[in-house]
Amino acid sequence: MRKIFVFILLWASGIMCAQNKEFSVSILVDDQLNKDEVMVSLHDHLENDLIKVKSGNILLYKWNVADHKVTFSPKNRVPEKPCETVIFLKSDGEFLIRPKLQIKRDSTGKITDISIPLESRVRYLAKHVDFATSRVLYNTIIEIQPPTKKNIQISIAEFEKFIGTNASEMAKKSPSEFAKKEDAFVESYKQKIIGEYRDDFNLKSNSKYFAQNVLEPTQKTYAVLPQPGLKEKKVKKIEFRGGKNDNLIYKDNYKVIMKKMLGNYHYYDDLATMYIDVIGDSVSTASTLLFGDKDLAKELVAGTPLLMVKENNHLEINRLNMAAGTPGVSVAIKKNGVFGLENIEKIFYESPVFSLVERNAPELSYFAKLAKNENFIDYSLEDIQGRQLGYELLLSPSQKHWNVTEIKTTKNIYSFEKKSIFGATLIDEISQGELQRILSAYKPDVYKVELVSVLEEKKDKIEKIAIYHPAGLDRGMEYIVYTFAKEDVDGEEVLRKTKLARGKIGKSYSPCMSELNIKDGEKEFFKAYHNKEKFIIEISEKSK
Amino acid sequence: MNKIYLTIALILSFLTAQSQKRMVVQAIDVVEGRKKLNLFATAYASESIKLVPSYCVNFLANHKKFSIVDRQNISLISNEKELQKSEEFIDGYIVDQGKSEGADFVLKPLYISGEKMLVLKVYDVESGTVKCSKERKMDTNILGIKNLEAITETMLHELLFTCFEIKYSFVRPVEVKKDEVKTFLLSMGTKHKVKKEDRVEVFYYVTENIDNEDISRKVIIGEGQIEEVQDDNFSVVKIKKGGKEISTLLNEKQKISCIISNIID
Repeated sequence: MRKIFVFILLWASGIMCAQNKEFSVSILVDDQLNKDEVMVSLHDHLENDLIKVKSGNILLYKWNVADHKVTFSPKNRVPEKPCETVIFLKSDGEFLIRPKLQIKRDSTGKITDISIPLESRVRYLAKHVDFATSRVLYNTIIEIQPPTKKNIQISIAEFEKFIGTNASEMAKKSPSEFAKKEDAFVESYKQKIIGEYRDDFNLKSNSKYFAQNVLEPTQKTYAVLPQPGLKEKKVKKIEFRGGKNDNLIYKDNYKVIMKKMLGNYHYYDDLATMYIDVIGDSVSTASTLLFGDKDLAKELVAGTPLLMVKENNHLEINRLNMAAGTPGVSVAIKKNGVFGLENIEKIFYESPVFSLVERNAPELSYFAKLAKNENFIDYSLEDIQGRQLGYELLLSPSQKHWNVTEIKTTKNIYSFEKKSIFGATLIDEISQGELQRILSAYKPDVYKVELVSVLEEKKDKIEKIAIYHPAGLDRGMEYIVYTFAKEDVDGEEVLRKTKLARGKIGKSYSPCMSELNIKDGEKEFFKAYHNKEKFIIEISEKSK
Repeated sequence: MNKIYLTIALILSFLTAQSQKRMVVQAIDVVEGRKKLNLFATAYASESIKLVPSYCVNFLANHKKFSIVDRQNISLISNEKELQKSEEFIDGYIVDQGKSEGADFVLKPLYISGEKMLVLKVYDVESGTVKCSKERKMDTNILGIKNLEAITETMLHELLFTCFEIKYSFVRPVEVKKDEVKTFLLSMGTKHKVKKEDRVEVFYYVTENIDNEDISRKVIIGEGQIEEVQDDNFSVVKIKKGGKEISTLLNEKQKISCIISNIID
């Protein structure tokens, strides 16, 4: 009996352990640092901050960008285990360890002031990839604040003692010799310069939110707790279900949103903007920026379901506003390496219609092998295996164009010019309009502009409508309303689009739904609409 | 009833896909040719000429008659299709692994730098022969090759006509004044990469009997300019020359065709 009892106990605890086997968030840290001492020191400090994150599931890896080699870091405090998210982290920039002396002169050429400037241009690029699907989730740039102290003041006497002569005269008589002495002086100050950077308050304060900025909140939306007993007409503080384990950042701005309907489409309306005030264990507090909010108070009393979402979490906001059942399109971008083309990647991964697949990261194969290791047999590996996303469309650049290729047929389905500034420099950006055109070229019957509702009609004119497109709508975009006329072309009936009206996007309800203010053709549109004629709304060629 | 319409639509789309020819655009070769004195730097010209394949792909992408095979990325695409066959994708998303077809034609650009000559050749893959070719002498200045994109597009319009007899139908007159057609509707739109102000050549075919053989002869009757590109398949053309002749031919129920024939200075 005792043996049976022990067996049951062991079996049950085995199950419990398996259920507690959480996957890690693996951070691949670029090992190819600019080797200046300040950078190495800062980097070390920031890595230690990442390890200390309380969720305890962070694992660091040394990552060689050039040969894609991944090695488990000795800094880790827990053993290696399979991951669900891979974060690529790369530093960029440098601290100015050997700057040029800043020398001020008066009108006679006499040196009046000497200082050593302290400057840094350092940032970290972080890219999140969902390991199970290879889907790009997020990328961000974390700017390292430059030092507060802008320079080290040097007395002219000290400088002249170093160079052994009058500085102003030497600068006039032998500039090349003077330049060499300048460099030697700065070199002699090297340790002090490094010390200044290390001691700088600003640089130290960077580490405070570094880990949170790299990791970003684990949960995307938080439910706001209703306050039915609220007596005030305006409310300044709210409570929501989110806490320490959600990587919330103090003072981060969040939107409070509520669901509304327009026609058959829903959208999330912004009610208020609040900042994280108090981070609790599982319930936290947010406050309005300045004054109390009346509309928020009304909804809290009524018990309307409200959500909080981070202000710059465009993916989540777009996802919430997309109509249910919209089919997605998986796309990959042809480029060299994991980083690069961040602006273009962002427009795709923030659009819930698209799944951006990462195919420039052979490093992911390390984690695929790890997941197959028999040491991890008691992990729920079915959650991370067999779910890889293949991509349907490939976006590849040529010198002046972007080409979209359908994988199934290897056919180029759409091509468009790269954006330029003043007709010259080509920039890596894609407009919302081009996203719509890509979708229309791929599946024109699935992805199209939908008329949500006629908003403003006067006598025999339609002046304002609401439209929806899952790829998103931007203010100022122009759309054309077309009807169809039949034309006989060599005995075949072909439908010809006839321009009925033109409109521009105005007020936005959500990223996917906006007002379209009709110009040119209000009467014609009114007539066609009420006669139930077939019409379509398409983005104008002018909207690039 | 809906099932019947769906079936018809599927058959039509299948037939359309079948009637599209698959074309591969290759990278441009730059050869020296006969050396001539060249006052302007050729380095920039050599760099800008590399854009020609990109202009060709852009021109032919979405053309009704062609599907452009992405040659540049063929290995990447093949790797992806192979990858998607692995067990890692078993519950994920994969593309339909259908048959990968080869190309029917190859468009090969060539630039003879010594003669400043741009050549576009179309090879028939099945026979391995040159189906047709177009060449144009380019003008260069201190900045490089002038009007490269416009010239490439004009050559492509001409190539489509010469090689594949692709011409576009005069659909109907839009504006007629005193028995003279002023504007007409042309079955050519954004899908055919037509642009506002493109020059349109209007012609018809007569049959000549030469040595007991019927041969079609092209007769140019007029000239126009694209006034408005209406949609994917239609444009409005303003007639510059030949309005009356066109009107006469229409009365005779003669079939009239058009092509784009830009003159670039």
